[in-house]
Amino acid sequence: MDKQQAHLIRGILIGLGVAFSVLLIFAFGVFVGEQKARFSYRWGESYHRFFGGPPLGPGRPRGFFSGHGTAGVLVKKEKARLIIRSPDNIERIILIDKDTFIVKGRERLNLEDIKEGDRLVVIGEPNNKGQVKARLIRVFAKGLWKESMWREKPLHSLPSLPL
Amino acid sequence: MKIDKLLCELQNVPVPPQLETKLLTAFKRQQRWLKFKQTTVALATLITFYLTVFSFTLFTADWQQTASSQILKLAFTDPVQVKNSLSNWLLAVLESVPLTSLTFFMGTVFFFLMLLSNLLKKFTLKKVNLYG
Repeated sequence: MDKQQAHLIRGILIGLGVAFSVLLIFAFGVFVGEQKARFSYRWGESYHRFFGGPPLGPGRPRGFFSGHGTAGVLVKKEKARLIIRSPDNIERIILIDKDTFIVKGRERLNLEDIKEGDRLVVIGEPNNKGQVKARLIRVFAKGLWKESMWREKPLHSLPSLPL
Repeated sequence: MKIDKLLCELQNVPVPPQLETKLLTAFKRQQRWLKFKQTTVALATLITFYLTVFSFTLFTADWQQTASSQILKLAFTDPVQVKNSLSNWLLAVLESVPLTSLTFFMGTVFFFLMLLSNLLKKFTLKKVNLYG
């Protein structure tokens, strides 16, 4: 095989490698985007059922958002679920079960130890109702984060939570 | 024109003054063009540097406003729990990263480094090939 042929084959292989990498990255991006869109759609579809008001379309009120994790202020605590408002002013329902690990500092907490107004970071998995089944919840005391990031009042006008 | 001058020199014929003038004008034009190119590259490098700094502040401000920064910190505060739910944690980080400002920042860094390397090439000493 002469030098020119070897160069040609090497060029073709490099080109194929680059094309494959680009396609792989693109496919991964599509996968992540799909997860976001699917969760946002289910969240919008179920919103009126949990919070009242008119049904919301997908991607409202502000684009698609994450379903595998969130951070926010606890606005309401119920028996086995929490309602968190994230910095992008989206209300999310976090489901608690026996596998949920709640921690503050170095100590493990129970659901009763969490209060409304606490800052939470949640990792979990979305279900088909636009809710997040929490696996890990880390609780922060008020004042540890920059307060301007966590607006006390929501920006957009959505129906208030039912009593 | 350079070939014409070479031919004159090879034939021991004096180079006509018009040819000399044309060659000088072409040389000066080339020098002006090179200087213009260098100035443009230097200016573009400076502009992309400021754009890089601006996009970095924009990205960090955007990033602080998302849950991504908080979720990333969990890898340091709760490594065991994050390892148990690694796929969820990874997806949570990727889903909440502010893509627009990150892309803009990476783009400006790329162009800045490209222009900087172009600029620095002109200032590096050329290696002398002693063996021809």
